[in-house]
Amino acid sequence: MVGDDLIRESMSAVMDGEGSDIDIARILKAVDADPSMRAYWQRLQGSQAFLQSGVAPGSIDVSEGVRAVLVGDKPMKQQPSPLVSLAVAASVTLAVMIGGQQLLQGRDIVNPIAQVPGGVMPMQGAAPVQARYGLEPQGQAVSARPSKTADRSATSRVYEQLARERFERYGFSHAQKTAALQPNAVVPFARVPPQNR
Amino acid sequence: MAQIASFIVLMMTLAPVSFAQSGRCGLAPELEESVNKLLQSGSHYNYSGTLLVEYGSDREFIAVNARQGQGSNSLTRLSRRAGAPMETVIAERLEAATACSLARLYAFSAETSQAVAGRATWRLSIRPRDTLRLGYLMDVDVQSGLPLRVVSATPDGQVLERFEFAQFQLGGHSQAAQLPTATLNPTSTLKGTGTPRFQFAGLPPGFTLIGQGDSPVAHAVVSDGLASVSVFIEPQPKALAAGEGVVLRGSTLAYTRGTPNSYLITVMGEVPITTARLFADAVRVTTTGS
Repeated sequence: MVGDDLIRESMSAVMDGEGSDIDIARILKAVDADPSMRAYWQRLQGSQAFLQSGVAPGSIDVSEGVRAVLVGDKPMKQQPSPLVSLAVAASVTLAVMIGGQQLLQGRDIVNPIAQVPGGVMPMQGAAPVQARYGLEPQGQAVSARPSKTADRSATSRVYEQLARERFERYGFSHAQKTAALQPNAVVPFARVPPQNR
Repeated sequence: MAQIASFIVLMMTLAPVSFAQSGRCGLAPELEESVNKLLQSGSHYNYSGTLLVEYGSDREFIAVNARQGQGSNSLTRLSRRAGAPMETVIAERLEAATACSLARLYAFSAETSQAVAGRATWRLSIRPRDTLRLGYLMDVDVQSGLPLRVVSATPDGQVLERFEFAQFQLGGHSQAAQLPTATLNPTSTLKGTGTPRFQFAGLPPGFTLIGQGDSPVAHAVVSDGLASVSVFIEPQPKALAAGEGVVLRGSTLAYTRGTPNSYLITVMGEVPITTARLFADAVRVTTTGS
């Protein structure tokens, strides 16, 4: 049908951020009146969410969000209002983000913070961790999909482990040679595990 | 701990005003004398006591027995396990820095303080003049000049470590043996049989070479009189991409860097990570010994 094609074109234009006020009004009217159009509109949004997040779409519907933007709006004009276009684009983006978060709920894909014993000192570059005896350090969770970031994280973990081993291996030597200059000559030795002497 | 952290931040950001700095090196004579007493106290007095040490969220009590005259100290880790053995440790004797030599690197200020372990103390704030060193807040025993409570922090005020005597007994003056001190060339090449040789292209401001050795691997020790750093170099143990890792234990940091030419540089010391990186940057591997 010519009418359906017109509505689909309006939907595509809105999804691309190029829709006019007339396109939006046309979409709202169509999704209210025609369940197939509502389903198509949902699939369209789901596809966009998939392209952005790589996650399979669920049920996302931004028509209410779009409607809310238009509540209290003045009668439609032929030319799109930049403000309304911006609001619609923001509404769509927000809906996609919220929908994406809903889809991610319950999936343990990424745990961004390393769980390490002791205090973690935020510093630029390499991530220092507080050494603590008697507990094995827990590694940083990484994405299930291999990537360059994951490779870098693996390298960082190896170097963190190397630094930990060298702390234990060379700590006593460092304490022996510098303790006399430190505020208390015993504390530098206390920082070193006793079995590494 | 939060109060101490707030004080440290304040200490790091405000210029010390407690003493008029009018002496020969910018320090008031009485402050210079007090700081010198502190710097020399470690080798002058025997003492014993119980020390509480906090590293981040970790803490432990340590029984301490310092016998400076014999050149050895002992410590017993009371929180580790029941019946923990006494550990005897020997620190190499080094010539103490002077207040004036440190004054160009650190700003000192003093004020009154509360008692620590039942003893009268005064508070010394040591604020680094650049971002290459740690800052310290010390409650110093009036009688001996020994620091009874010390908080160390990064230049931006992050507390790294805190230790405090819960119980303290001052012994007598120690009769320290006179040990020779070597004069070293800061740019001399460090050698080792079967280990890499290296030298420093330069050292961060204020640091000088105070020791070097080949065991367990080629290493050098540098200090600014208060902060100390050991630099170790060894062949990289496994095929790895260049990278870096850092581990902290209280004030001591171990920074390990793998170089593209397959060496592993480890910088260990009581310095911020910025300084550790500068030391690693300065290492020049010359060749590998046979």
